[in-house]
Amino acid sequence: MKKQKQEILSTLIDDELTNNKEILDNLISNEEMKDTWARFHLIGDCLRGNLPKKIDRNFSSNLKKIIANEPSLFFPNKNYKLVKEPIIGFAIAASVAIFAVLGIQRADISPIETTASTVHMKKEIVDSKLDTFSFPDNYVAPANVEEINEYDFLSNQRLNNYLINHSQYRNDLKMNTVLPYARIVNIETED
Amino acid sequence: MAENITDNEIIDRVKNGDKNAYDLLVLKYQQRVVNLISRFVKNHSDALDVSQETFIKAYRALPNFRGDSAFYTWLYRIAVNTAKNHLTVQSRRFTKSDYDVSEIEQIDGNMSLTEQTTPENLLIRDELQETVLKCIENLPEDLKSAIMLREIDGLSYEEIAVVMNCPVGTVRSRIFRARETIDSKIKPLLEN
Repeated sequence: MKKQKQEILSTLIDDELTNNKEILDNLISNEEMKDTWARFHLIGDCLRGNLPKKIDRNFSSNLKKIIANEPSLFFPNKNYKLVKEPIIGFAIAASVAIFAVLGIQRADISPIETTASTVHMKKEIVDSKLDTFSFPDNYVAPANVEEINEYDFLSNQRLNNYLINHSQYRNDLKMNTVLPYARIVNIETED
Repeated sequence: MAENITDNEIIDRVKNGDKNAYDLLVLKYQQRVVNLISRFVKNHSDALDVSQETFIKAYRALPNFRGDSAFYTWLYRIAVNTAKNHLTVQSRRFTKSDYDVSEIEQIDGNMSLTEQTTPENLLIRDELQETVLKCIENLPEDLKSAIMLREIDGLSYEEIAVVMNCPVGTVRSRIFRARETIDSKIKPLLEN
């Protein structure tokens, strides 16, 4: 049994073991195995000419006493950060999406009084205010523009308010992330 | 580099608070570090102190070790820097005409291996080397070739198996038997 363990230890020293965990557990807790580990390495150093002129037999035991007085290190694996960051980001994005969806769905329960002028803009106003965009004279509004009902209007209004508030909140916090920005405009034609 | 696997696993354990695991790294690299520092610091007691300081610095800096290079490469840099710092401090100390009392007290207060190292704890390298080489000479040819290819040429078990035209399991067994035989000869020297 002892020989078998020592053979595994010899394989560990040569880094030829596929599963090191069990033998490392044994090695750390077993002083006799530690001595064998030290001697096997000493043989290698001796053959490679890595030995100092004098070998202090108590070097490691003296050092161990000093290390015992040092504070223990406890640092989570660096992979922790790499794995957790996307998860946290995804959780935040999912929360924002859920709030947005719930906010829209609750629009019919407690409709918000809004002034139509903030959202509904007459075609002439749009033409006059926006230099970069103007409707042609023979413009015919698509059917779906006129078919926006009260429910859609309130939903759009709430979503718009939510996005504006969120944008302001983001600016206040100086968040550097890129968040979606939407502008919803309803156009009322006088046909 | 093959030797990184075990080292990195040991380092992970130390980083997770297992101080005893650090002992394995000390036992593995102590001779190489003392030998390296001895090239800079001629006084053996001082070389031991600087080696000790190197391992303490390495322990404290271990959280910064990212594993981009082999552990020994990283430790080597710490050892060389510590040795150079020691030489700089020494040269400054010798050029000073008078000493600050508090500085002397601080030097004396540091835990030093010099104080704990007694002549009977020191084993002479030549004695050990002679024993090992004599033992190697007396080994059967297959064991001798296996251990030399591994320790001196740094070949993997698979490469040795190709060179020696035998299975990998046989290589593992031959290397172990060679180590076991040498170990039985050097163990009494280290225990005396």
